[in-house]
Amino acid sequence: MKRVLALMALLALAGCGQDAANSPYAAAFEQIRGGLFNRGDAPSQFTATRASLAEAGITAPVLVVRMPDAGISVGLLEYGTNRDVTIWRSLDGNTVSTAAGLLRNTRGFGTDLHSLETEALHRALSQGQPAEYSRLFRALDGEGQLHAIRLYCSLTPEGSETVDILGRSYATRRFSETCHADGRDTPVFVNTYWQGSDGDLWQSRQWAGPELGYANLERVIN
Amino acid sequence: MRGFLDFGGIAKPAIAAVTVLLGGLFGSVAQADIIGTPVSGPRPTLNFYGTAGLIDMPSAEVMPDGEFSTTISHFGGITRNTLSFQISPRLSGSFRYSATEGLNLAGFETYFDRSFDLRYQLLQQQEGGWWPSVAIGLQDFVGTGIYAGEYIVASRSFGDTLTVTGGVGWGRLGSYNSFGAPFSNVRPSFVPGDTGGEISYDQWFRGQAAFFGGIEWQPTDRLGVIVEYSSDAYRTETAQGVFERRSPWNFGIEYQVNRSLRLGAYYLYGSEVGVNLAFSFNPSRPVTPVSNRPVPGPLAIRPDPAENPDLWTADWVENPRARPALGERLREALEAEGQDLIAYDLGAYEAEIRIENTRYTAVAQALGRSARVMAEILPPSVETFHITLLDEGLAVSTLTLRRSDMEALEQEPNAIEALQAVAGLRAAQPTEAEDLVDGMFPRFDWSLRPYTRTSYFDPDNPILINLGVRLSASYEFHPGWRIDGALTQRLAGNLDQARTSPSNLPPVRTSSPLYDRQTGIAVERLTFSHARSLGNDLYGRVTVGYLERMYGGLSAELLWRPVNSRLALGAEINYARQRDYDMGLGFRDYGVVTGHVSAYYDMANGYHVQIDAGRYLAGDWGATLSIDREFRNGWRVGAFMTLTDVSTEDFGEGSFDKGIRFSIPVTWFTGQPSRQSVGTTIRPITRDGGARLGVPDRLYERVRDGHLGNIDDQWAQVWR
Repeated sequence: MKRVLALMALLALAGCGQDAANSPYAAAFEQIRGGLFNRGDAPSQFTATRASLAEAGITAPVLVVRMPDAGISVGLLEYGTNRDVTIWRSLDGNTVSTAAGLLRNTRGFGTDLHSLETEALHRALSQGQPAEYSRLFRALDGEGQLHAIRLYCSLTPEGSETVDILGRSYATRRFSETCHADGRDTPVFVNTYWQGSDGDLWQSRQWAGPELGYANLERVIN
Repeated sequence: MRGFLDFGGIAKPAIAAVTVLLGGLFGSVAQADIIGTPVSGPRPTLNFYGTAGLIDMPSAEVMPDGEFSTTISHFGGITRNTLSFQISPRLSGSFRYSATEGLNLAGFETYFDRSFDLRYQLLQQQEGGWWPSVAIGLQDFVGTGIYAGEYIVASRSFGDTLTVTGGVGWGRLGSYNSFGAPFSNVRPSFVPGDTGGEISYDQWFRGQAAFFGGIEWQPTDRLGVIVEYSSDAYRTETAQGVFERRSPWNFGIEYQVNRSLRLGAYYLYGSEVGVNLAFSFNPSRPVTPVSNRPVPGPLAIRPDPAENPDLWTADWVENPRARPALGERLREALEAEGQDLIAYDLGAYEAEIRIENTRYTAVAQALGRSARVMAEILPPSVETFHITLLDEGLAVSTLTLRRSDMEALEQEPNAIEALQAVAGLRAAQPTEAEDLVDGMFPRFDWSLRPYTRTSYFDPDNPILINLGVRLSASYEFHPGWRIDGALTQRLAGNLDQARTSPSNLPPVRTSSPLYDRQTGIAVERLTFSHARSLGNDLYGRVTVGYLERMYGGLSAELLWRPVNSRLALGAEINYARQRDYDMGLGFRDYGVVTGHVSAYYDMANGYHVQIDAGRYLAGDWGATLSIDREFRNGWRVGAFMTLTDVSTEDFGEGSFDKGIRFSIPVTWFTGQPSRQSVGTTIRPITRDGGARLGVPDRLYERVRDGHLGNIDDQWAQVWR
C-alpha cells in the first residue's frame, strides 16, 4: 500500500508523458514547494555600485527600478527601441518600457502595468509649466478583460532640487503630478519627476498600477 | 549565474498562491476595482442555505457577479452543503445537498435531500438613493421539497457597516407567526419520498405567509454581527424531535479569514449552536494573479529599409535550402512556446504556419506568441503572416496579421484594440500534404496521469471516489486521421459500493455502478476517427470504436458554423452498443440508434445556449436545453435539463434528467499556462431517461475555440 501511495503522490504531482516538462501539475508542485520551503529566499536587491558596473564592463545606461510594495529592486539594461519607446530588460527577461523616461508598461512583474499613456504628460513636462491634461490607463482584470479608465491630471513645477544617483549628484527641476478618476475622492496617484537640464529624467516615482504600486526609477549613466 | 554583480530580481508569486490555498490569516480581504478603489458598502454574506442572507433567512443582497461559493452549515442535526453561483449581476442559483439526522422520514433515519434555488434582485440600492434593494426568491423550487419556500425581501445598507433586512415568506418561510394567506390558501404539503423533480409552480407564494427580518453589522472589514427574526417554524423537524425550537431569534458572529473564507458561529432558535463555513471563488479573482510569465521577448523590429536595403531583399526564396532551414527554426522556436508546427508555406512576402496549441488557455495568446516567433525568424521581406489553428489535425481558422502593424503597435497603449482592428480571421482551408513538416507524420503521443471518478449522493456515502492511473496514447497517420486510446487502472477507492437502482427503462445509465465494480485494466476508449473541414463552413467527423466506458459503436457528425457566426447547427447519428461490465473488448446485447440535431448559439456576454433534439440511449425521444456562462479566462458554469417522452413514473426519482456542471482552467490556480481544466457534472440523480451517448471530440467546441466570438473574447491576451 505504501508503494501505491508513493506512486500516486508522484503521479499526482508530476504526471508524465511526452509533455511532462510542460505539465501544470509539475508547475503547481514547483510553486507549492517554492512557497513552503524557500521563504527565506527573499528577492535579491539591486546593490551594484558605479565601480562594480564599470568592473563588469557595463557602460550602457542602466535603469534601476524599485517597487517597494511588490518587493522588487532590479537593474535593467536598454534592450531596444521602438520609435520613441525604450525597452529595458532585466537579466531574467522582464521588461519595462519608457518614453522620455515616463513609464509606459511593465512585463513580467506579476500583475503588470498593462499601459498608461504618456504623450500629454511628456508635452507638459517639456513646457515646464503648470498644466492640466488626461491620461488613459488600461488594465486587464483577473478574468482577462481589458478595461480603460481616463485619469484627469495636473502637473505642478516644484522648484529645483539636487538628486543623488548612485553617488553622483545632478541638478534637477522637480515636478509633481496628481491624477484623479471620476467618482473617487482621493487621487489615484501622485507621481514625482526630477528633470535634468537636458530635459531627460534622472529620477522619478511613478505609479505602476494598483498591484505593483509605485515604481522608483533611476537612470544610471556611467 | 549572476556573478558578483547583483542586478536584483523579483519575488515568485508562489507564496501568495500557497497563502490563498491554505487559507492564510493575513491576506487582504477587500474587493477592489481596476484602479484599486475598494468596493463601497457592507460585504454581502452567505446564510445557512448558502445564499446571500442573514443567518437562516435570506436578504436582498447579491454576491459579486460570477461569484461561485460553497457553504457547509450545521445546527441541530441539520447539515446543508450548498453550491451557489451568481449567474448574472442580479440572478443567482443554488444547488444544495442536505442531511437531517433523526428525521425518520420515508424509511431513512437520516433524511438526505437535494434542492435547487433561484433568486432575482428586482431593485438595487443606488449610492445616495433612498430605495432599498428588493429580491424575489424561490427556495427548493423543483418538487414538493422539504425546504420549499418563497420570499420577497428588502435590504437597505447604511454606510459601510450596517444592513437592515425585512421580508415576507411563504411555505417554510411563512410557517411561524403567519399573518394569513394573501394570495391563496391552498398549498400542497411536503410529501417525503415523492419522486419530486417537477417544477412546483402550483405552490409558489400560496398558503400562509409570515414576516422575517434582521440586522447585520460589520464593524470592521473582517467582523460581522447578526441578529435575525426567523419565520421558519421547523414544523417537520420539531415534530420528529430533531431539535427543539424555543425562540424565533437567532444570533451570530462571523469572521472573514481572507477573500475566500468566512467562518461563523451562531446561537439559533433558543436551543442550538450552529456553525457556517463559506468558501467563495470568483472567476475574475484567480488564486495566482494573472501574469505575463514566461515573459515574451519584445517584438523583433525589422531594420530600417532605407538604411539596410539589402536586408530586405526577397532573393532568399531562390535558395533551395532557405525554406527548410527557416521551417526548422520556426518549429524549434514554436515548440518552446508550446505550439506544434504541423505545416508551413513560406513565400517572399507572405508566410503561413499551421500550429496546434498545446499550452495556452486563450487561443489569442497562442496566436500572439506564434506571430512574435514569425517576426523573430522570418526575413524582413515577409510582410504578411497567416497563422492557421489546427485541433487534432482539424484546420479551424486562419488569422492574418501584417508585420508592420505589429511593429507599429506593440508599444502603443492601445496595442490590443488597435491590432484587433487590423487582424483578419477566416475559415481555414484543409492542410495540403506538400506543406507538412518533414517527418511529422505519423505522430505518436502518450501520457500517464492520475484520474479520479466520483459519484455523489448515495444515501450511505454522499461521495464515492475512485483513484487510479490513466495511460492515454494517440497515433495520427495524417492530419485529422487518428487512433486514440486510454487504459485505466483503479488503484484505490470505494466507488464499487455504489448501489444500482431498479428502472422501468433499459438500464442504459443506472447500470453504471456495475462498471465501477471491476478492478482490472479497463479500456476506457479506443477509437479510430477522422475529422476535417468540408468547405462552405461545414465540418465533418466519423468515429468508430469504444467511444466511452459503457458504449462502443459508430458515430458520424456534421457541423455548420461560419467563422464569424454566433449560430451553429449540427447533426449527429450514432449506433451504440452497450459494453461488457469488465470494460474489455466485449459487448452486451443492447444496441440502439441514437442521434441529435443541435443548435448552438453564442449570446455574447459569455452566455451560451445549446438545444439538442433527438433520440436518447434508452430509445426515448426528446430534447436537451443547456445554458452555460463562460468567462474569458476559461471558467465555465452551466446547467442543463432534458425532457423526453418517458413518463415521470417510468423515469423514477427526479422525474427528468437535469444537472449542473462547471469547469475551471488549471491556469486559474497556478498562474502557469496550461490547456487543462478541472471540473465535474453534478446530477441530483442518474436515471435512464434522457441519457446521451458520450462521444469523444465532438466538433462544436473544437471549432468554436478558433472562431471569431471566442478569439474576440480572449483577444486581450494577444500580447501576453
